[in-house]
Amino acid sequence: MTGPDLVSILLALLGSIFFVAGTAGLLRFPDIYTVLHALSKADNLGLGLVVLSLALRASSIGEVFKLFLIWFMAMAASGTTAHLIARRALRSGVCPIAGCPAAPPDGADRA
Amino acid sequence: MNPPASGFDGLWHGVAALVVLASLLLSLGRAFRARSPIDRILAAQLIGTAGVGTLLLLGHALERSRMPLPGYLDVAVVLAILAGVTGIAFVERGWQTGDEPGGGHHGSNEPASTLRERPDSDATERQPHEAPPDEAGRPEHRWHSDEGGSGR
Repeated sequence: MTGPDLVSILLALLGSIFFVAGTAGLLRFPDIYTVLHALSKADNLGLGLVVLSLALRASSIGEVFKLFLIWFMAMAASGTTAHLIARRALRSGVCPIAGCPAAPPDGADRA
Repeated sequence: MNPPASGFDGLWHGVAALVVLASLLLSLGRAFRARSPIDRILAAQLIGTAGVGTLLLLGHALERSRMPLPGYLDVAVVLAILAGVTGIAFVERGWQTGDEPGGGHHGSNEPASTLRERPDSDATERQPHEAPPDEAGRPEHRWHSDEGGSGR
């Protein structure tokens, strides 16, 4: 087993641990915003580590390009979605667990 | 990569794939038992990302085995793109007012455009002598999610 293989395996296992951490966040965190934070950070870091791990073992440069395209797509998608969900939730009056920082006085449209 | 190790080439990547698959199944159970549509879409987001991760790891683990998955990278690209479309479509089209946990407006089907007027219309529904309007406009159950009842 060569050095890159070992690093690749370590990265893959580390990535899977981050996926488990993201799921733990989904199951245990108390409100929408904290769950969003767990999903969009832990999961994409896990996917990034998996992508790095597989890129080390890729057989061609096109494969590496595709792997990083997957990572970029997943990050763009989860960033956009997390922002949309959080903004919509805040506007429809769901408070963060720490309390609403500034409860909008006239209509909940100041997100 | 070197020939002697090729028999166990994908072993540890397969182990990692199983770990990610286990976390995917946990969030699938969460999506099944979700208390609100938002819970469900959050679980679906995680299932999307974890599904891409599982597919990548499994596809790589099986690459040199007797049953490879040809073209798994292309499938993963499509999955990654569609996972984003799901969330955006839910927020723009599927999110009804009252879907949020603790929103207190369950069952109402007003379109998203009336969302902003809701606190005002809520206040006018109350009797004028009941409470001052600035407090009647935001009752406690609206501003705190039921989700976090145990966490506070």
